[in-house]
Amino acid sequence: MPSLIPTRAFRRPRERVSGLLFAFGVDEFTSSLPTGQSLTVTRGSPRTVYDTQGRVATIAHSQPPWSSVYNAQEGLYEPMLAIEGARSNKCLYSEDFSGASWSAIGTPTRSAARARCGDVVLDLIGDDASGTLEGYSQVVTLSGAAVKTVSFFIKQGTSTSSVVRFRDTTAATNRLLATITWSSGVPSVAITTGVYITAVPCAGGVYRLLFQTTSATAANSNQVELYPATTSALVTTNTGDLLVGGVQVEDSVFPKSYNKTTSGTFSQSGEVVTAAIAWPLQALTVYARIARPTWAGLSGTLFSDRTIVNWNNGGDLYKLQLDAAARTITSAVQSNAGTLRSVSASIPSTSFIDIVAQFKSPTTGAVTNLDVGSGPGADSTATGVFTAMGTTLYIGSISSGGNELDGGIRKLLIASGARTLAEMRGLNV
Amino acid sequence: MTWAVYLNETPLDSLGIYVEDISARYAGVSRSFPQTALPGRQGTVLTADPETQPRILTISGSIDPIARTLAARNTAEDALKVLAYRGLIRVVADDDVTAPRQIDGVCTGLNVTPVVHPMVTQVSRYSATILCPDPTWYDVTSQMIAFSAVASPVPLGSAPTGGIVRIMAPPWSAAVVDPVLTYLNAGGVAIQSMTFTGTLTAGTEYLEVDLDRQTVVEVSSGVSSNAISWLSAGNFFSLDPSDGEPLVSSYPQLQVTATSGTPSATWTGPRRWL
Repeated sequence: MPSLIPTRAFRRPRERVSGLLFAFGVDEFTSSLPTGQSLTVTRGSPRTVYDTQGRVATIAHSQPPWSSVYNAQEGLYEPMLAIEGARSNKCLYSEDFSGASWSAIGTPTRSAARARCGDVVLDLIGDDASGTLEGYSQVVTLSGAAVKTVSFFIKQGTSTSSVVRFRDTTAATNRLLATITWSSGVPSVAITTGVYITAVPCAGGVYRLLFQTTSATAANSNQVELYPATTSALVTTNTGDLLVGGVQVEDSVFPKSYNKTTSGTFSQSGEVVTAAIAWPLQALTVYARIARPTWAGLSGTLFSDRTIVNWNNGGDLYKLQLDAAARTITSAVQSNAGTLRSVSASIPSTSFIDIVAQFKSPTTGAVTNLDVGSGPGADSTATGVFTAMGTTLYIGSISSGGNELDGGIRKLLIASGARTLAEMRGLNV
Repeated sequence: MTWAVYLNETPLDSLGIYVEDISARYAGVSRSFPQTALPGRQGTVLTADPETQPRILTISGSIDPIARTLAARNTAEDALKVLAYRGLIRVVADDDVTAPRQIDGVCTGLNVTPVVHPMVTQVSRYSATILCPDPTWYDVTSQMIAFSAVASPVPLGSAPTGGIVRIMAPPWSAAVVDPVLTYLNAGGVAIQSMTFTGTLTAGTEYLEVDLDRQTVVEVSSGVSSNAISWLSAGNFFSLDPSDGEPLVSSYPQLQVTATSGTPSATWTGPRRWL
């Protein structure tokens, strides 16, 4: 009697299946993965993201942080999952220069809401008096003596040269002084004091400029100043106007996504993205494609590790992360009774980074290795024997929250066995 | 220039399976129109909306693994069968010129023929027939479009699309009361609107409207609940390129307003192609 195929086989298919253990690609903006998992997002506040045309969109509490990053090489915005830590915008009335917290320098002109970039509104502010320096300033309350960040959205007006300054008026010292000029609608920044990080191209000729100050003294009086028409020497002869909005000052070494303020500061919560996993203990390969973090090009001391993915089961731990202090990508393993063992590689300079990390020999002494495009590196020293996989995958943060990536993930794939970078990068997810 | 075809996540050429043709890849969608003849009249009258037919793709080419052994050929043939018969499969075609497109279907047949004698050849020819119930191709990469009371155009392909709209009350807004989602043509004329009766608390709640599945869900601090009862007027709609002129990049628009509060919204979805 021949054995027939069970009825349940070849059942009418409703969903795709995947041969991978975990297949997360941002292309469909869905939390339901073909490998069966669902992403869970925990964030106790709203925040902003970029849509795929470079406009700012606001998302709600625990709404998945789908966003976009501009791929200059391709000339388009690529989707990504943008995971950030907590912080506050200390600048009040961030889109309204008529707000009570702003002080006029001279008698600048202002036309409200003359441009938009999605949910961000830009005022047209102007200096119409040759012989008088005009602009706006706001005293900002800081916390802790350290490097701060200043950012804002800007679009070319009639002014040929504008200045942003962050000044300690108690010590009469500039913490940031930058001059913005224009060429065919594209800003060019010359820095006198502080650090110019980058200009993020947005929709409609709008750019978000990101700056880092020198170390500020919080106990002193500090203010952000915007001069629509002047030079680094703060000459008074220039006139012209400029579209500006979305001003943000943060107690942070690196600017994060923008949050609008009115009469009070806005505090954004950190976010945790997880997926339930139930894999038997096995060797596997992790592939991540991430946007190169904007902070990767900064010098000096930054902050602690930035997580791409990790799991742990009691003391058995695996993590793939960016070491913000050393500017490296690190793959690490640690068994419950063992020592943390890791391998690292420098963060490549490309705008998108492909990473493959192998997790091997968990039952005899787990090791890991790393390939960021230069070929697989040597295995780490073995840590102890793992007893089980974790049951929760943490994407972009550690299990207790914190150490958020502060960057974007384009793809995260996990496959059984040892795979190469070329293999994993060639998969369509 | 490269040419890559995937079944689900696997590029076929990585298995030594090469695609030479995908018949019906570039064809438009087939449609049939119900008709009836009227007594005393010449010709017929169209009596209902057209019905679209599924797309039948035939993917054909050669199996020629790098190892060039009988065993390697057999392994590649088995791999192709595993991929082709794995539930709902996604065919992705990337010609390295236009944005990659994908279509979902089921394999209804796979013909494999060794070249010359099966015991001596390392090469075989194959032909896989894929039935695609939804005949439209989708962009592999979806879009996210932000909009508010200021309408935003939604770039479309050549076929109508649905997508998912999420409406929220930004933290700097008052609560959004009774939001209205409006679909406008490229000229700004309202085509369809959906009125929702309810209140979205600023920063913590959003309404998720799935235009394809025709569902409405309220998400409050990350917890979802059915909110189809919020829909008090209007109907679900599709975004149709014929409501604009895609040949000159003129597209229909989405807008969200409310009785009070300042709603903000996003639309996510792929461009679809005939």
